[in-house]
Amino acid sequence: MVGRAVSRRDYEEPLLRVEDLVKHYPSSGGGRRNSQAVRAVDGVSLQVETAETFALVGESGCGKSTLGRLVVRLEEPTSGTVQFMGSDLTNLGRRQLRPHRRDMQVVFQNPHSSLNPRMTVRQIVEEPLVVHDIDDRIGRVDRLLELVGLPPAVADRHAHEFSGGQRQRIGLARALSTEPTFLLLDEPVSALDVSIQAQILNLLVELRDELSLTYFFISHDLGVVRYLADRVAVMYLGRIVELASVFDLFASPAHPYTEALMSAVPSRDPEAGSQRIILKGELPSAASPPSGCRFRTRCPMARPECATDEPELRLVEGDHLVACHFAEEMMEKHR
Amino acid sequence: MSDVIESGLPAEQSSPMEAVAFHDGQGPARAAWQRLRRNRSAMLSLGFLAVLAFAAIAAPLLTPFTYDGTDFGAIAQSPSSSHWLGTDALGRDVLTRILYGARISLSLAVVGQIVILLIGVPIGLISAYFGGRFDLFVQRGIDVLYAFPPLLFVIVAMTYLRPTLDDADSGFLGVVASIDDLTGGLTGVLLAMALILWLTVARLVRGQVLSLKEEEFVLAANATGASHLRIMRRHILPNAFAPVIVATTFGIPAAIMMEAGLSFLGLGAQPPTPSWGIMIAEGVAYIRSDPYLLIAPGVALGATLLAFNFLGDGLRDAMDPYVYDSS
Repeated sequence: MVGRAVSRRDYEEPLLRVEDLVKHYPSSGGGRRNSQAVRAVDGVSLQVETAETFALVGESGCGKSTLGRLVVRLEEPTSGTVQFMGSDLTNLGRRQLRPHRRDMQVVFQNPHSSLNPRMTVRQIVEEPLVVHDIDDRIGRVDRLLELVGLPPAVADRHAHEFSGGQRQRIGLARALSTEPTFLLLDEPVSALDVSIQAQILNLLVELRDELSLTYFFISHDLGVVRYLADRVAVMYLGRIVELASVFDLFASPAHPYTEALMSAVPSRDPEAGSQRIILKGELPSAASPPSGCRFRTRCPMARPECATDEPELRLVEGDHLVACHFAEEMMEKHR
Repeated sequence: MSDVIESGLPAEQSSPMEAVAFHDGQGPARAAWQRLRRNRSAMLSLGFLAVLAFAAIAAPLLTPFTYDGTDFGAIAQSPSSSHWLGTDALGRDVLTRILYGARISLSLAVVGQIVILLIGVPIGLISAYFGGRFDLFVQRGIDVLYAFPPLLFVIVAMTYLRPTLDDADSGFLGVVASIDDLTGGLTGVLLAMALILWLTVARLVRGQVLSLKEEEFVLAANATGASHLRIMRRHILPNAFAPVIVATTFGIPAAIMMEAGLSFLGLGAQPPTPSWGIMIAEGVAYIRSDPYLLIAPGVALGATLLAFNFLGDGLRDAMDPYVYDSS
């Protein structure tokens, strides 16, 4: 293929390598001097392997969407590096990034605002092909629509004529049009009705298996993550607090925050006694995170040393990474 | 590479589609037009303006008189079968002058709005899209200019421009001056108006663009690697245009009114150009003996302003994004 930035296997693993990524937003307003920057993403390192589904979970405001946008360079990082398919994207300009964009596409959260209301479905799905000078557009658009389960007849309608699930399919067709290897899925189903969520999730799984896609899946829904993901990173206040395979994470969560998140998922078995862990208080401000462990202000097992020593993300077992002083205790509890 | 796409998915995949919400395949523009067609006052106004525009264009064919042809045998006549709206103090046919006046009012308003759009839209768009220091600079400049009442600004500009243009006979100003002469003093008016009225458009466009550039479809275009130019042209401008069209429709009567006001004050079109403003000014002198000299151009002006306002209201209702995007 002409114009590919990197041939598919011309680089060393992993597909995506993020190192010490930081994004601070200067806090505006108030006019106070020394006002702290909002640390939306504060030192995140992770790797995503080819053809795996990497999920990023956390509550609203924890920085997971910002991290996603940094990864595909829709935001400029304050510091840190992003390597994708062996190329360092961190210092590339808009034009230099374009060839790489073919290989990494995005599906957005809100199907009502992610499609231009003035364009027909064909124009929307075709746009990446036009941008990247790919020929054979008409046939491609029809095949793409079929691929996401829409009849080709929809191509000449406008996006506002469709329901949320259909729009999300259109967004998916657009993202797939350049045959990317990597898809950033930014809460792709959270704006949809539950019944339609299932259809879109099934479609995502089928497409992944069919096209051997790599997903970077952002969600706040652990049920969805469990269904779809291979590995999961849990994010809290701009940092990753736990990163493990989906099996390890659900079998033995080693961070109190992860455990609390899981206790909030309704059980499928009504007889099973649910021990809901209610977190106290609000998410602290990302402009002035607590000293030491960021989670300590809401942590049910916080101890004095948590206020002074910040726990590093460390390997506790296999490839299970946790940022908690008492990860071993936690894991013991689940045995 | 394309075999990946061609292979497609198992057949059952294409069947599960949630409640299908297709309606007639039509774009937002067509939908807006259909809503506008149902608005009676807007359509009547559009009809009136079409007739007026036609009469203005075809004026030489419609009347046997010329706008500056004096007939001293028929001075200040009341309406009659030969002069439907009578004649003025110099024996000029009033209806003829009103038709030619429509030429001035309409063309000045339309050309003026085009000039205003050509200045205001790019400035508002670029200022909001790129933001930063340029935006700050432009916005402070607009704030300063905004502090002047527009009519006052134009009057001041015209009192400076009029003698400058009258004296100029060479160079760029000379060219402008000769165009100004040909158009009966209207180019000066146009320049002065455009100089102040683009501010509103620039602000309007800036506000639109500021919110549009945060929309996910713009992010999506960025994610595909589209250029700034493409994003502005394909994604931002088309979506910013509905309120601009409405504002332009309301801007036309404002410009007509301003031209009439300036001409009334003697700063706009120069006699014998048959501007409605000049006709009203001349008619005032005869308000007791021949009131139709004031009433005729006044009604023409009023009806035109009213028609544009009704049309603007209709367009605003028809293009309201909240009406159509309800699916």
